[in-house]
Amino acid sequence: MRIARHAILWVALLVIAALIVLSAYGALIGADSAKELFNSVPLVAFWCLLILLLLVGFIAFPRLVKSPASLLMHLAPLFILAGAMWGSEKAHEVRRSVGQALMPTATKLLGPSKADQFVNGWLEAGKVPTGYIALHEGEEDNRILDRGTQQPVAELPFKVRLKSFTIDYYPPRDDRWSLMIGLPVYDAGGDLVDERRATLKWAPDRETPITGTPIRLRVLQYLPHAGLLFEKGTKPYVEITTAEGQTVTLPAEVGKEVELKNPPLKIRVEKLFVNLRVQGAGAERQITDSPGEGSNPAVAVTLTQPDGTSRTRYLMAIMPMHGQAGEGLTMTYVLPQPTGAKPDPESKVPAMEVQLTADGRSHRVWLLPQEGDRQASLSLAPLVPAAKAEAVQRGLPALYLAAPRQDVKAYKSDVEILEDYRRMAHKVVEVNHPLHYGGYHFYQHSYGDQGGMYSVFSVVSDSGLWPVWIGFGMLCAATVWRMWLTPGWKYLMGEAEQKENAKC
Amino acid sequence: MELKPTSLGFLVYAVMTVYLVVAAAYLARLRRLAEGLYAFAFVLAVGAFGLRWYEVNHVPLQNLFEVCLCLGMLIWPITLFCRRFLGVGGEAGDAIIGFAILFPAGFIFKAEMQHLPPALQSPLFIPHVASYMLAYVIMAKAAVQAMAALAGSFLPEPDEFLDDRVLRATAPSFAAPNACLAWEEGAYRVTVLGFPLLTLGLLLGAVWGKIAWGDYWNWDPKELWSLISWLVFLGYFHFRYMYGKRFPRINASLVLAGLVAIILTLLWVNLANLFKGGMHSYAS
Repeated sequence: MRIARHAILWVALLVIAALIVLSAYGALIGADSAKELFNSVPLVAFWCLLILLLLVGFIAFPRLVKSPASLLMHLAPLFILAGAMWGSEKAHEVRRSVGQALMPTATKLLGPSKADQFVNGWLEAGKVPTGYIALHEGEEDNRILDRGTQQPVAELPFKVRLKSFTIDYYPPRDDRWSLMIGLPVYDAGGDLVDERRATLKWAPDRETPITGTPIRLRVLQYLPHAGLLFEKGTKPYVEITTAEGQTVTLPAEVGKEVELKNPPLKIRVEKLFVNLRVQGAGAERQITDSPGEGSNPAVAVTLTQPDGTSRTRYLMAIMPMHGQAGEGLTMTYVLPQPTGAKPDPESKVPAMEVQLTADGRSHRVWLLPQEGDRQASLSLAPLVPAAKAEAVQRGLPALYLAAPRQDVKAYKSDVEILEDYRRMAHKVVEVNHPLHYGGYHFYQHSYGDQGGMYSVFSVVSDSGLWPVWIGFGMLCAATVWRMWLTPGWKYLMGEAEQKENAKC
Repeated sequence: MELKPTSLGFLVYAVMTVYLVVAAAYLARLRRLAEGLYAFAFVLAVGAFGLRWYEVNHVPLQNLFEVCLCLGMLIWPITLFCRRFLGVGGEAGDAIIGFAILFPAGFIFKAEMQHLPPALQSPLFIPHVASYMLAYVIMAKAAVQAMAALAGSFLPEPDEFLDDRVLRATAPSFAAPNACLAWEEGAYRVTVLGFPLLTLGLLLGAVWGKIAWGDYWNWDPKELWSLISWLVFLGYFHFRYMYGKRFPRINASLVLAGLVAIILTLLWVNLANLFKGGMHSYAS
């Protein structure tokens, strides 16, 4: 028996050594390959060997069962392995196939509802291990997409709805915007491949050269809170051009309207936007103004026909192709260009006036970020005669007045779960705060703003999680017990005994 | 390599200098002086940690600079604990560990204050990092004991090793016929102290991983190396269970191997990440 016990312990040492070697190899090949390795058939055999070894150990070493700490610390890996295996991707696939095969027999034997309970509840055969759900604001869906193919792989028995997605930022450490130079970067073949930005250090009334250019810069004014100045009399307007080439100007003020003869339309300004934002899609599309979160100036106009029917169009200053009415009519929302700035305590953007000197000549220009902008740029190409055509086309070199870097504080997705149109759960999902519902966890994965703000959730099955947590808890408790509490107790008892002895 | 010409930087350099003097004092057997200076270094180190906390307005355990600052502070309490309750000495080694841990804080890692990114905003952040940090310092101490066991006959007899009272309290039948066995016993006791923390760190990391990005285990290099570190010590405990003190040099080598694995866990992946970032990147 002693030899058998010794042999078992040697196998244990070898298993530990093998796991160390495999892990070192796994670290070299990278996470994805390592995951494949440790879930491959030979390794599954290895895990089964480990389970067998532990079970044999319980039989061969009675002390392992009698001592609570030893029992816990050796039971723990069994729980962890069992949970990990039940929750693995392969196990999900196997259970799916088994479930599909068993369902007819189960239905015959147990009846449909008990069969469903057995196959989908107990066996968890209907679940997928992981996937994605991508939702635009206002959108709901129940399809889980595969990570690789982006194709739907499963349908949840409930819908996930994204009410809104917002990003919270930390307040910037320094309110001051920085002056930066953007220089073209060429590759070995002389082609423009990138832009390199560098911060320019400036002090009031000091002339500094702009690196990489023959231009010298002097900051004349920096207004931390600036309101824009426009040429006297200039105001935003809508320029309407008919198919015949006739041009009409409609001042962009709410209520102003103009009547066209051909086509016969009455065009009226309904609303002005500082930052037009489209949320949702299709019938649920919502159009709002979100000042301060960007700059997308727009105007909403209604076109009314003689029979009374009307439609609304949204004209965006920076995307003039959108919102056209057809019928040969072209409408453009024109914003006047600011010519300067004055201090305005209500404004959230600064302005800077600089003097640029090159070739013996000086120019005074303003850098004027608009409300909601994170930077204002100015092409310096006209002052750099040696600039290559490619660079000039890209507006390089360029001078930037850039907002201080914003560190993200939180990505927040306001999510609800709907079953049969009833709200079953609601949570603001953030990193470190997933939503747990219906056997899945939903994690904030990523986001974007194409076609409106959207959020991508990582969906993970919770199968096999509980045995893993129990195993973790057992392992922690057992090591603390055996290595801290027991010796600590012995020490205290030893001290007490010595005190007793000292008394004698 | 860069100097930190701030008050925090100077404090760190001061602590490092005192640690070196402490180590020298212990080796020169100027015990009283060494103990006094060691306590003084601790006060300075607490000051440095506190200053950093005040500057960043949250528990300073977010980047490698702060991690090292904390480690450099914890070495003194650990020395005291091991001496008092485990009967284990090796203070000179501990002071060198303190110096070594503060070296990267003083000269390598950036102290730039950073806002906590969303991924690190979790109640598990500090317990995970803290248990690992404490575990690493303790295992480093154990490794010093192990190195001494391997150096064995080249080192002087460890006098005042294994305080009699502690000896009788914890291992009445223990006899240390030679220096090698004495150091080996010290390495064992200190490893036993640190292993639950290593376990806790590993498992808290897994739990946090599940909460933060969906999986308690991603097979990434950092996780695998921390698993390797844990497994080396696991193997050590099984081997020592089987053979006790019959092979003290093998025992000691295993403890040393554990420290090597820890160093690889801590530095390899983080050094790679200082250049490109990743799940475990501390420097954003």
